[in-house]
Amino acid sequence: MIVMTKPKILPPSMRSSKRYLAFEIISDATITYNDFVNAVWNSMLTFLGEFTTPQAKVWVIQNLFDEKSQRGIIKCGTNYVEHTRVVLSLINMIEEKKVIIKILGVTGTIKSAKNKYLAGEVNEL
Amino acid sequence: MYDLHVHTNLSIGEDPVQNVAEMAKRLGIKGIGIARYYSGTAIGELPGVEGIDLINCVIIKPSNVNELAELSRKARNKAEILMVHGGNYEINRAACENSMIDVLCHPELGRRDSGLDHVCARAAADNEVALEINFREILESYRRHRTYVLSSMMKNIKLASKYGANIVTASGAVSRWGLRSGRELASITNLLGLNLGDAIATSSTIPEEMITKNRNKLANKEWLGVKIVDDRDDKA
Repeated sequence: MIVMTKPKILPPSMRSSKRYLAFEIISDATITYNDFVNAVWNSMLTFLGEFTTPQAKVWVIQNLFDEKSQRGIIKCGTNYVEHTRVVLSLINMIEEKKVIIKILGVTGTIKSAKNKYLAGEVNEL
Repeated sequence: MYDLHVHTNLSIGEDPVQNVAEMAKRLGIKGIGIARYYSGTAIGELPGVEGIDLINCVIIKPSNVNELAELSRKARNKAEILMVHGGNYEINRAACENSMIDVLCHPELGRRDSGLDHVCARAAADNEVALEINFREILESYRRHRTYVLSSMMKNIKLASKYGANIVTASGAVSRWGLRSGRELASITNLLGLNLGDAIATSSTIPEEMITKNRNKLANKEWLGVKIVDDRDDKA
């Protein structure tokens, strides 16, 4: 008898739809993934609160965050794209370093986000 | 996308115009309003920066209603966008009733209420005075105070929508790090109660129309009820 230790992955029709926001961190210093994730969580809990934060299903995708170009992708629920934009725009300081989070675009799949926004050249100030 | 309320070292800001303009270009902003306070003295020319439209925005900060009338009369011909520093109910109302004013900045500044009522909103619609949603107020406030600011802004948006007054969303940045792209500014206006299309217009078409109209007036191409639509004679 096979004992299941974790639930099966839901079929695609049962999964909630998502959007992917490609972003770029503009700062004089280099921001690490962990610092960025902490800043996103703080901003989310402050602005959206404990009730709306889980509904937004915001997730920073770790393996797509490039520390060199300071670009990455954030996943969120379809109905919470505007909330996520505001949450990111309210981040103005990460670890004592002034930052602006610029949203490069919103897509429906990771593939198109990577092709459209992460493959391009880095826009140097 | 336009941001009509940006401070540089020409007013209360930290950074020079050049640095702010470079950051605005990087964020994809088409034009920024370089805000300067007017107290009756002359206002100098703005430095030119390639690739971005720098708009001459003049802010008047009157202490009473009479001073508002006087300063607006004097400053009107010097400004592409004439703004009033809001916060005081009497000033807010007088600004809404004055057709020379383009934008009433942060009417809820320093208040527990929204600083506007239905009378002001109706007057603002009649006199084409836009009400500003100032992003810096949200960015620099925390917890309880931020909820007051957001609540006031929601009320002002509701009033403006009901009476058809224009809304303008601006960053109110005092350094280049306070700037945000127009789409981000539109998002906050959307969350505060305006539908997405109208929210995007608050940082794009509404400021653009105001700038075009005022530039035409300053260049003597448009008067009250009359506008030059064909400049064929000028070209000849």
